[in-house]
Amino acid sequence: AQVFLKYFHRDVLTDAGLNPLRRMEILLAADIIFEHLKVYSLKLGYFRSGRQPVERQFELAQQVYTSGTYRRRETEEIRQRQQSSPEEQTKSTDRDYHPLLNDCVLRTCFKYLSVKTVANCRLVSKFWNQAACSYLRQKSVVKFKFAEEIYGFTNVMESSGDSPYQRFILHIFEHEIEHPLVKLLFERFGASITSITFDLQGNSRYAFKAPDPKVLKSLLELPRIEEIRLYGLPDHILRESQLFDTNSFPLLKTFSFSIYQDKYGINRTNSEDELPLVLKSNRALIFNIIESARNLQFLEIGSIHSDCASMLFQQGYFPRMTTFKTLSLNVSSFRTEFLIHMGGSCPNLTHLSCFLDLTTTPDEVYMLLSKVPLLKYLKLRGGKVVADIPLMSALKEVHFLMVCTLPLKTLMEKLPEVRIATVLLKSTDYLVLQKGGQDGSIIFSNTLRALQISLQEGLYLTDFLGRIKLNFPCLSSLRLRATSEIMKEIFRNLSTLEELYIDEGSTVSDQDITGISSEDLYSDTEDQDDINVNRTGFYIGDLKRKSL
Amino acid sequence: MPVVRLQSVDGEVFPVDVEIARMSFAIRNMLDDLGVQDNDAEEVIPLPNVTGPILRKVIEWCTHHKDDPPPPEEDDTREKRTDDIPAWDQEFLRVDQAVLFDIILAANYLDIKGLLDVTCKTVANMIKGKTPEEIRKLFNIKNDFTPAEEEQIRKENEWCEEK
Repeated sequence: AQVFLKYFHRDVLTDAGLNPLRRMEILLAADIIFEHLKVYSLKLGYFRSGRQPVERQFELAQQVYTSGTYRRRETEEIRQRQQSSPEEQTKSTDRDYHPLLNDCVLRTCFKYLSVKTVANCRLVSKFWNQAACSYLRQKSVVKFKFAEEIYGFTNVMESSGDSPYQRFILHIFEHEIEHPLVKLLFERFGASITSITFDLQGNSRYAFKAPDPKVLKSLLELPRIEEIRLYGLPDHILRESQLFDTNSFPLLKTFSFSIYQDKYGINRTNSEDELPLVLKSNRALIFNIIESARNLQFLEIGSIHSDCASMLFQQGYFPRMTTFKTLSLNVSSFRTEFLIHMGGSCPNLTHLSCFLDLTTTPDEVYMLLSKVPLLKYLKLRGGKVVADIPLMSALKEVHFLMVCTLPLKTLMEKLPEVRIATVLLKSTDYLVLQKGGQDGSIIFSNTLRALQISLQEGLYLTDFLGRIKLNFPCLSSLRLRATSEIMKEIFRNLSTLEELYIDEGSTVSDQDITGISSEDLYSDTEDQDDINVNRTGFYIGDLKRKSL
Repeated sequence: MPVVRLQSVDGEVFPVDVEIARMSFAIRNMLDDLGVQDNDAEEVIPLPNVTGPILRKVIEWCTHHKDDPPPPEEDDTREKRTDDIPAWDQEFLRVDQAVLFDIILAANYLDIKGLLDVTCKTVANMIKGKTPEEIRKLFNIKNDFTPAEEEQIRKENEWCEEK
């Protein structure tokens, strides 16, 4: 234990993202564990890799303890039970778990089951019930389509001992935020709620009255809240609620909201004079959110005005957000200097999704990407070109929904670990995977699983498909625009394929897909029975089971 | 190829290629932390939670999978497939339930993600599509619920939906 304790100190103390208080807490907790449990190893590798938030790592460490020494505990229990009288034996049933499946292993198995199946596992025994509940608290959600549905739920949960539900989605009318049943739900379960989504979008067109900001505030002041999503809530309600002015949300990791300028005909910002004012107050709002949720990792802002976004991230103004992992900004277009500042502000970003301004230059994209080396997911839309990207070895998923003037070969070399790629290539020349002459090397990736190529079919596509199996042996999903010739090539070469999307604009006839039953064909259009393969795009699932 | 010696709880010592032993993140961390060099071949790493026969199985699995690409990282959005267990692994895991669970616990303790995944998938497949009573029978578990408690859980489960 001594050796590992040293290790523990070193890594925790060098984790720059941790505040001193948190570090202290962890060290104290570690000392307690080591002192009382005589544990051999605490799975400290997780600390060093820095991939997961510390609280979670700590949970894992405790799980390892549980599993690692369960045998000893169990044999002691059996011994005690053998010594005890028959009456005592029956009393101990609530601790009577199956000797071969401990809770940690059970929860790992649950990962591969649907939540309905896990819920069913609750009925096996009290021990399974506990393990299933702790899994369901994180993975399941309760959805209410109307405020009235809450009544049935609170009724059932009235006599529940240990609720498996901490996450709620309320798909209700805006004014129903003030509904007594919503109040009841929060009163009854507020102390344990970790995730709340108000999905008001679907009903917003019928909304006639804005919810009271004070009510919103009183609802969302929850002690254990980790995730808040407000879809379709006017931004001025959020501003007026002053939720983030007076509260701190140390556990909040996810926050998502949209900015609506013009709902209910109030707060109109059509006039030039008012715009700066609204921008300023929205900037203050976002700043407040970041200030009061110090561990925020996921921030999603829909419809943010690009001027507001630019102001937010101006150097010196935006705080350095080392906790930020995900940033999704739905901006009509981004000023590029903003992107560069943002990259500097959020160096630990792993997910980034945003629109680019049409004036964005390839160099600016390069600058942005070089500032966020940990990026795993990237979706860039709009903009004109990507001509170069830095070597991004962490990137697992990339979507360049813009014209890419990079040969696929260069792209794959820059993204050695990428698993999913969507690329809008400018020319079919860029598909060439093997060049003759001086550069005879081929590009190879055994991580790439899905590839989407958007370009006009051309000379090189069939040639490309002929090579694709050798170059990308793990490829299981492909999306492109096809012709009969290309379909033949796909079926001839790609036995590993499990999914095939044929994009709109393809010229594929029914004969090209004979042998594939209609139940494995899916269309994006509503009418699934009548897939006109000539006109619309379609999707073939489960290709693996076909002999092609 | 440098070798490390792994010692099971019952005292059996297994010489294993370092590269294979390092597939276990627990061992990898121990080696890194102790600063074990190639010439420290006499160093014995005790594994107090794994018995000889199980350690032998674990080493067999790691040896067969030593050239696998690293398993993908945890990802909530990833499809939870359980029908993709390779044929070799299916054959390898055709063992007594008790041995299977011991391998799971060893994989968990030694932190070998690939092995833990494939064994837990195997258990998940055993659970899938079964009623609680069938699961109890399969794993020899006693039902310790009263009918009223069962009824309460059934009612609660009606509200359960995927995140």
